[in-house]
Amino acid sequence: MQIRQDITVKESIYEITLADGMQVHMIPKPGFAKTEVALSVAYGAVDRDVFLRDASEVTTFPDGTAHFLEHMLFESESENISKQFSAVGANVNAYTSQTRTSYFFSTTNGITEPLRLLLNLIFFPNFSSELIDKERQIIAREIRMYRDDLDQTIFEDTLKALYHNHPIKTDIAGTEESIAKIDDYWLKMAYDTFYHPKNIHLVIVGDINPEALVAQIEKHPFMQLTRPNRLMYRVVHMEDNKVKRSLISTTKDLNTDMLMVGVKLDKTNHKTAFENDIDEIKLAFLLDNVLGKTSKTYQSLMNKRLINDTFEFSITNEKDYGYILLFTETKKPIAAKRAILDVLMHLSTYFTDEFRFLLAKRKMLGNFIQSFDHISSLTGFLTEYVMSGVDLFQLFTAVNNITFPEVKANLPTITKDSCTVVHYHR
Amino acid sequence: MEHRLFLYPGYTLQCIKTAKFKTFSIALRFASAFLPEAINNRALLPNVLLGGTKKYPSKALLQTQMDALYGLTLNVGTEKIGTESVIYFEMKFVNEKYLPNQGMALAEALDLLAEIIYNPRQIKNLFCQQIVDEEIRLLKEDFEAEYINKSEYAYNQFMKTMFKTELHQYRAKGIYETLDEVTLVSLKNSYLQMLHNNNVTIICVGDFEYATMDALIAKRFSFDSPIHQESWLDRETKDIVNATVVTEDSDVSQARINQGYRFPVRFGDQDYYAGVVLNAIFGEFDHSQLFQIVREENTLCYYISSSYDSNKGVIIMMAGVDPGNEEQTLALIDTIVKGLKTGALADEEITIAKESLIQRIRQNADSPERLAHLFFLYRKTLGKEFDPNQTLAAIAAVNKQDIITVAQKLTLDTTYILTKKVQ
Repeated sequence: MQIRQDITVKESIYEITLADGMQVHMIPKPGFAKTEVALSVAYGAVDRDVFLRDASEVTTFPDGTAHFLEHMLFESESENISKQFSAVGANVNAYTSQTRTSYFFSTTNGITEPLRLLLNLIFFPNFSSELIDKERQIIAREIRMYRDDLDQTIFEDTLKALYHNHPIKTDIAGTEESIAKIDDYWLKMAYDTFYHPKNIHLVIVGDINPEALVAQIEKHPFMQLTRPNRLMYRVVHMEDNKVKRSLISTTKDLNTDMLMVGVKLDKTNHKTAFENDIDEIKLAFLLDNVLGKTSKTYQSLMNKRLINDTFEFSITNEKDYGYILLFTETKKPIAAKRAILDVLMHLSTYFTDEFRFLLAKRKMLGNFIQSFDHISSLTGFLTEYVMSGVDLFQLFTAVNNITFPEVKANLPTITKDSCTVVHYHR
Repeated sequence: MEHRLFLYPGYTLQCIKTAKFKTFSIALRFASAFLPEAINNRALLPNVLLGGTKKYPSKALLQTQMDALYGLTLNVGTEKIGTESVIYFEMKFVNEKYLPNQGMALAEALDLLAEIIYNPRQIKNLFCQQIVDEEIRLLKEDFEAEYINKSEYAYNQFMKTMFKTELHQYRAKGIYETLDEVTLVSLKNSYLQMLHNNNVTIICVGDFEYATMDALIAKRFSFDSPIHQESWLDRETKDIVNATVVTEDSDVSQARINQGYRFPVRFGDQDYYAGVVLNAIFGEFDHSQLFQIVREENTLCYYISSSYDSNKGVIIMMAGVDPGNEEQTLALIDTIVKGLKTGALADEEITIAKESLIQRIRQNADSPERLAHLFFLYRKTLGKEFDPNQTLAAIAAVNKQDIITVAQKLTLDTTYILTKKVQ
């Protein structure tokens, strides 16, 4: 087992790759009552098209398969999974994102029993057609529920406008039409393709003994399973920064207009996960400097009443897709849209405040240290980085060394063609 | 957990000492009676104070100072707890022990907090009109946006219906219709009230010496408000002859149902913990009966749960169902409630419900915010310190008969349905 320490935060990460290929990362947190265990499969909604070792052409899964599979692993004919965990004092849950499926539980009791249950859940699944039909109804209802949620639909509409073909365009849960196609054939195929131990990461954070835990995991029957690794490679959908549609304007049942501006990042050049993370953080520094709460631009937009407290922005930068999203509710949508686009297209004239850049770095250091105080967020945080193969401590050191000129040199090219605006109005 | 209470004329200082966290959490709380006429002023006040001080005359300059203190966060607001209104300033920042250039984080952070409380930016002894106008605008737009969140909208409509004539109809967030009646003078009076007539509690969580913290606080803060024990419990209720049913038409994909039950068991009552276990079996968790029977067994909804407000003595059920399925869902919920009253609950359900509650109680110790809040609540409402072991023992002692007995006190008051007419 490898142990890595960081002297600033005074924390250690324990890591080991088990015989079957599964990677385990642990952070001991003495004195904390809660332990959280997250098992994550490198399989998300964007993994739609794959090339299998035993196939002659690309296999395309129906949209929503990863999410459907997550729901299925939580189903059992004999027993209720959530009750099983509760009976041993653990609280279990799962979610599917664009890039991964995570199953996790937390407890203040020992983790031996719930961990055994979790591994059973993942490695000994059950796909009866009766359960599949029942789960399809639940998922359809989940899809319909989000249709009322304008915060969610404006986000989905923006992604649809940004991308031409990339699977990120589609909602994680799929559509009612696509989930109708998902049956035991697709679920088994997805399971066999992606739920291989080599594709699975286990993260454990809490008052734990890493050596004893690894010994326990190695005794679980799943270690005896021998499964072929069917996945040859995932089809990568690289798109340049030209958006599909530059404007979507829709009438909705609302009082205040909603505006989302999306900026598409060029992904025609391959970069490593570490480089992508650094780029993302540089962009975060840039936007914080130009549009953050202490910036002149933000104050001016506020004073002109173009934005309100809902104004926010976020950056996503993955291997084959990346975008910046800016959102606000507004009473003056036309002026707000014009002002935001103007800033985005003239970033170099706005990015001038080196003092505030240094403060942003301080703030990031503070946030990084604070993240070790919360078991669940730390589990999520660590999972995110181990899944992309990025060393958390190394990344942090690199972030600390980012300079103002480096950010300036990294300004993305934003033009009219790389921006999209989604406007919900009365 | 190590803690110490300092009682001073004017304020109470509660220190919780633990080396577990890399942060200091310091909360300042101002409590007074929740009065409808004071709601808007008290809702705006903490945000107006964050609008600027003498030393940092704008929101942005204050925020800049927070960033300089390694991303110090300051969470402010006003909440309603039973019959009390509490204005809070919750500060969290990194312990200098973990910072590269070890400075005076604690002293500087407390300086900032004192600056915000005592030195607001003023013109001719009143707050700035511009800051106040801005906060009124932001709060108004926040209210207006509630309409798009259908679950939130339905919940608010439900609350207005069920508590039409009671104090509980009001929210600490404010009253939209009368926001423009707030003046510079009314806000200033509210501020002076806060400083001189509210019950003040300061709660600190982190790795510090008691004497050091006590001295740092005493150097910066003093209050002259009288400390008095009050009952925060809201005992206002009404006689129910027939349950109220209200249906509102809306173009929604999923109907939202809210149901309110009167449940006259309050925090500190003898059967309070039986009430907590009852709600855990009824609807609080996803292994509870509502979720298991309505969603899992009958696939009628995507979400369904219940919550227990023990300051008021009500249990509220919330669900999202397909339009057309409302009647069937309500009938099922009615059966569940009747079942609880007649003892239709397995021993296993009781065990699981208690286990989930125990998990949550133990996890309080992992959150400085939760700890601060619980210590505050116990001292204020029961006049004693929060002791997780006592709570755990009280939960463990609840038996099946206690649950059935307390379930008799559930009375359906109001059902509110937001739905689309099915053709």
